Amino acid sequence: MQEMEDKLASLFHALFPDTRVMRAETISVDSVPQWDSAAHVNLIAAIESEFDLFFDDVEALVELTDFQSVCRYVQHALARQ
Amino acid sequence: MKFLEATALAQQAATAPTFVLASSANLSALEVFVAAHSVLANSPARMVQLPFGTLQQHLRFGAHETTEVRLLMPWDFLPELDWRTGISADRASFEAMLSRISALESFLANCPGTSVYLDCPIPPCHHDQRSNESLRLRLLAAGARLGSVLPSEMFSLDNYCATGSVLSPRLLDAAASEIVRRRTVNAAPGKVLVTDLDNVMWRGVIGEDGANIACAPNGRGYPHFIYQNVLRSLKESGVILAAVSRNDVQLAETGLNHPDMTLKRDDFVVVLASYQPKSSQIESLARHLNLGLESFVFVDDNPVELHEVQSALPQVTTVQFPVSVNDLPEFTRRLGQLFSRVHVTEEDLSRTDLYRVSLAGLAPTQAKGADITAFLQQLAMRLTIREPDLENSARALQLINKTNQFNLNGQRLNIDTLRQHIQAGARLFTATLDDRFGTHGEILACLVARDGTVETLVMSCRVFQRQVESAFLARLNQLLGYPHFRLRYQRTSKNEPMLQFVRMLLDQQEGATDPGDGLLVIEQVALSAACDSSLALFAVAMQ
Repeated sequence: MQEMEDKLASLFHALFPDTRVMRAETISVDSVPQWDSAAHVNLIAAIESEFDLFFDDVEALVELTDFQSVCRYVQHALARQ
Repeated sequence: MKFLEATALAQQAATAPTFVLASSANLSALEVFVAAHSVLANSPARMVQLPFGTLQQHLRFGAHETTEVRLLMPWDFLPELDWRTGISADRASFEAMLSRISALESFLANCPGTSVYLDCPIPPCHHDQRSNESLRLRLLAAGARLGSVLPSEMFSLDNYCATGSVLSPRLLDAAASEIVRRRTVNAAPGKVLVTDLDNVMWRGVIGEDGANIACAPNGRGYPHFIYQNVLRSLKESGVILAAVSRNDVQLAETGLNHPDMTLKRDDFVVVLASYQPKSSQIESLARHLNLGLESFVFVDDNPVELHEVQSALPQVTTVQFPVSVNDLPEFTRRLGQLFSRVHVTEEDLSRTDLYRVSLAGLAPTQAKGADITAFLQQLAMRLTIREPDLENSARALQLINKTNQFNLNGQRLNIDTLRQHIQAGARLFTATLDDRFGTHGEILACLVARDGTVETLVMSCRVFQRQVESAFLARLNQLLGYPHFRLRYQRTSKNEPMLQFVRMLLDQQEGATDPGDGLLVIEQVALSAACDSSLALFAVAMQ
């Protein structure tokens, strides 16, 4: 779990440099200006690539609007594998 | 390569020059992987995309740099094939579509830069399914002619519909690798192919197997027969062939004159056979040919040799000869890409003869190669030393009776003579080697007489360059604990590698001379100085 969260944090830091100085629980689409719809696509692609996952529930992906919800989603996806 | 690893590598390209990756799709997720692969290819670069929706305008009216790469989809040729727009009722006829594909193909073939085509499935726009299949194949053919093709697995319709990104996220790495490869190849097509001989040009080791090497179109010779045919075809397109081999000159020539060879000795501009580093030979060859190293491609089956060349000459493209026959098509495709050229001139056809004459008499250089110690450390080599009894000595005897090159004295043994030695107090040692590439099996045999004299020492040439022989002797030295190490050495017509090793041992002693036949006495301190550092490269186990 911790390893997954650390990887996700590194991934956020790479995609959204502003998050490097933020606490994880404060990272959200509202607090990170660069996190727009185009960046969201890249975020999902990066997660799928890093964790070797395949997300096919597009509606659920739209709901991922903060670090914590992304963590929970990835955790569930990994558990389903 | 995963995203975070790619991110770390991509930082090395942070200030590198940019190139245009032109596409109608959103490829921003690819950026980090492209930068990472460009770093791995020793050509750091960052991709920039066109503004959204401007591909067609760019293709027709834009300025095309030679570094440009175009990632094309079926709907870039025929917009009505775009899954996102639906199937139009007033679609064009099959013939009209074919002619539009041809028109864009011809146009792009004359544009600077190169193209990569993503073999996306297409919607069934024609009622006749055969027309739909033909259309897809025609698009594939156009893509292949314009550059290279990314397989259909890389396309994700789900992703495309949801986000406008065409590539499957899990295959971004593979797609980036191909795009970078295409860009690099297009920038500098190869001119010289330098090939290893043993287990590449033919199956087997000429110094060990002699006339039993295989390169005929049957059985185990097939991959090498196919390789030679590919090389002959490349030579006919003007590619210069050269051979660099760890061999005696005479042995290499014997192999090249083997009756089953498809290629002949004169198909090579030069054959550099020696036991010196291959990077030095390639560097010397480039100087004599007055060609840049970036136009050289080096083929070898041994990852250690490939790494040595890659370390010393990063401009040279290295390609491993496949271990599995099933990997041969991909390997030949790669060579085809590296030497791809559209036109062949009269000059191309006569190039080999011209260079062969000018290189006549070029001898292998004695220059040093790259230090590959760091690479050897990464191999996680495990050396297991055993002391088999007579019943388990079959492989050791086979090695002793078959090995010519790394052979202390050429002495052969059968089970009866081995028994006599052992009854007289001799000890037989063998060693097996494993590393991250797999297991190499039993690769060394050594017979030590009761008084500590090494009567027989042989090692398979498959593991040359890995310092196995030094590590083994260092461990044996610790095990036996004699004040002197004695080797019953004899020069033979084929044991040049052993001569070099013995010289290396003697160089550590005062008053060193070239070894003569007979008993060589190596002081323990000299042996330690020559061999102990190699022990650190191995996890050594005694069983």
